Amino acid sequence: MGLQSNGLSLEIVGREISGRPVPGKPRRPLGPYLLGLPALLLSCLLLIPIGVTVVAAFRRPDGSFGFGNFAVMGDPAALHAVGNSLAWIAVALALVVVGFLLALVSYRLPGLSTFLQPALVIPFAVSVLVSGVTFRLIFDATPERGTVTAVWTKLFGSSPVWLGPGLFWLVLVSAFGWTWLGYVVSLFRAGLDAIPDDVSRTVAAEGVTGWRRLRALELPLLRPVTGVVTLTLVIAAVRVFDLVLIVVPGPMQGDADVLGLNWWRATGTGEPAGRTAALGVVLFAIVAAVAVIGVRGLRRRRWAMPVRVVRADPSVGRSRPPRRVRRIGWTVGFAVGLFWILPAVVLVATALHSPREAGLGGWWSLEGLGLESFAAAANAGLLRALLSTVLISTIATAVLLVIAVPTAYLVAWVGCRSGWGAW
Amino acid sequence: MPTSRRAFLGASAALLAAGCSGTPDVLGLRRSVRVAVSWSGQELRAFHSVLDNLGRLDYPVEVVPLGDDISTAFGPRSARRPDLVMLPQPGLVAEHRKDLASMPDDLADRSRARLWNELLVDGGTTYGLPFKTANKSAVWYRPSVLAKEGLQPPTQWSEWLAVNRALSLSGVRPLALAAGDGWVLTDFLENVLLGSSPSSYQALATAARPQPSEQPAFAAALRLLGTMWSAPGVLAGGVERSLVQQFPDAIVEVFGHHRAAMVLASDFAEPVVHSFATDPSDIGMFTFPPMSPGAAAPVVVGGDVMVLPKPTSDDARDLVRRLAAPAAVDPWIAAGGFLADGRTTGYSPELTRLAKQLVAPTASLQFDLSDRLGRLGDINGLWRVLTDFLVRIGGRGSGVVPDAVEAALTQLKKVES
Repeated sequence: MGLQSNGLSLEIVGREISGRPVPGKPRRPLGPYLLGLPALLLSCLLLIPIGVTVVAAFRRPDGSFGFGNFAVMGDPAALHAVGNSLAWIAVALALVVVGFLLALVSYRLPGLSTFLQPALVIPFAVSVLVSGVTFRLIFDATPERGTVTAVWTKLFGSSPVWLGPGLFWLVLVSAFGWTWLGYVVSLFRAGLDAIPDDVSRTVAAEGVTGWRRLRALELPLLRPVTGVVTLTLVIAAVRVFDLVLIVVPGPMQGDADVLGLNWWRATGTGEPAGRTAALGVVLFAIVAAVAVIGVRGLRRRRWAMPVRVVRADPSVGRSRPPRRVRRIGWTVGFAVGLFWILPAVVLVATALHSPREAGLGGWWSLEGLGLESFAAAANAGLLRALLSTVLISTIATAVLLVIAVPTAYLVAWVGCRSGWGAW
Repeated sequence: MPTSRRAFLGASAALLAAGCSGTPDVLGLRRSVRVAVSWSGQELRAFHSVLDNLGRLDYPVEVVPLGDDISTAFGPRSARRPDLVMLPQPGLVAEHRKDLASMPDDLADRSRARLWNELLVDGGTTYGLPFKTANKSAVWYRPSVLAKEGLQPPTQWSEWLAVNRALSLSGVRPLALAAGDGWVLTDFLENVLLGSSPSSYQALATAARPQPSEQPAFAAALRLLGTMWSAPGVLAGGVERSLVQQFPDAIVEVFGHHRAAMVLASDFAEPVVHSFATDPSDIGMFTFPPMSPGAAAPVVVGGDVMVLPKPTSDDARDLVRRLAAPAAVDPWIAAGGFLADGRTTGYSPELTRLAKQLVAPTASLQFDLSDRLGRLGDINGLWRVLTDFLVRIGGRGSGVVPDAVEAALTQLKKVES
């Protein structure tokens, strides 16, 4: 950490220098370069399909090359899908902002996260597809089954059709937000917690508060986290596919079309391969553009994370707010946490009803409780699907460890040596 | 903690071994026969029971439920491609013919029966084999509602309109419409068209480049359909609720929540009706009535046909042979909602009536039209047109019908070109 004082630039050295300096040559070990082999394999695995798709996108049906296939982007349906995909990116960015604000509130109000934090993380354990099914159940159009419809009907006499034209966006965005918000808040919160206490105390002592404090302290320190979070969410938003497929009823599927779905449908309806490849390239270009921006954000790391040498003295830690404020935070956190896990409760409770009762009544019904639905699912090949999932995820994890970890080491090592990390 | 780590590693190794023995094909170690189906829920379970009943097979069978997107089964070639497709639209066999292998010769006769030969046989070669037949001209209703108003199940289209009027006047919504499933809407129109003009139906179904928007009979059928759908108070929940309703939801509306009296649903609705009916004795079914006095009642036929995508394997052919055996489908017939081609016994009373209608010599029988219109009949064609038609007229009175018919024809013309 460097600091400037009275025209002098001072550098604090972490430890004493002992012994006499010894001249030497930098070591050039061969080992780390061997890590490049899995990296090469990974690159090939990733790049070959991309290359094949790009070539197919530029190849015209008659075999010559050109931009002819990209005329598919003039198709109103494809344009509509591109527009929707861009709207999804906006949703992802909004979610990052909301998640950051929530993390900030829970950081300033410690009692809040006792219950809220675990509650926020629960949805992250289920896939977006399951989340979509859950929200479809919650927003079902019949007052007997749909939670929101039932409550709305009780309060106002009648309820709008939540899955109907226009309103289905609400259901889609809720399901997406429910799955991802916990991830965003947790990462931001971890980033905030990692800010050294002495730094935040110094900033506080300088009298920097409010918006200025945010700009001077939290925002720059959280830049790497922001990069990771934005990258993950935007890519998830561009690739949103199963969610739309499961949530939106058939007649509105056209309105909710996104690039991924449009491309997938085009592959099934016997459109020329070049046109679908062109769509795929556009999809890839959007994701790549976002990824490049995100990765740049990742690398602009200004401050090193502190390494604690001395055990922190709790008395000089972050100032704790008064007891009353903490109690309010705890209560609010508990209430919001309960609300947040409601969809998970709905899902589990619905599954615990027999198929007949789940079709006739809501998750709150006390009739037809039992494991009949599980038995029915098991008869439709559930066990086999579960085994396949276990197998695939095990293989995927193994491949990731074997290929990606050495690659990450290599990137970090080369980055250190050549100063890549600087840009 | 070395012990716990060792325990964890041991457990994961055991799990991996178990996974490998159970699903070798995930790794591509041993090829299983992949069967793509469009069924879900109860039908999927019934199909699994049929597979379980086949006895010991020398190869693993994997069922891939693709839902409405079954046509993606013929998408780009890959190792995960299905070996056997249960195609729910027999009309699509012709379109996919170049991707299909021919059926084993000893089974080919079954495809040469009435109606099927039009779709499944081409140039003397058989490309598909009927597995399941559907009678799409059935209306399920609650007899108690009609009895309370002193009404009888309609035997003519005009009587049906009168029944609907009488029910709405007494505060009962007559129809639950599952507009969330496009095929429900096309089935409705096909019944009306086949009932009012069988010759136009036949002409459209066999035309090389069908142009329904040019057919006066098609416009007339739309107007007739519009008369029913546009009647105020005819649809349970109104248009918006109908749009988010899928076919089981509509059945629950009638038999579970008692918000409607009738629902147009095929024979395969039977198990759904029975599982959601709050009063098992209050279930009735009438067949789609003739459109005019003296005309034959329309019978729109659907079905799932077995087709073998190229290149096929001996295992896949063996599975087809086993599934084609008459006794193979017994578990599904016992579960309800299954009609086997040419068979008229062993069903419930309602399904027996529908099965007899399928073999009656005088019936006006035709295959589902939407499958045979190619891209005109799919989700961007007739489905979309009929959905928009419903949105324009639903419950708004017969005054809006002529304009809506014009709009639908214009929309259709755009898809045709």
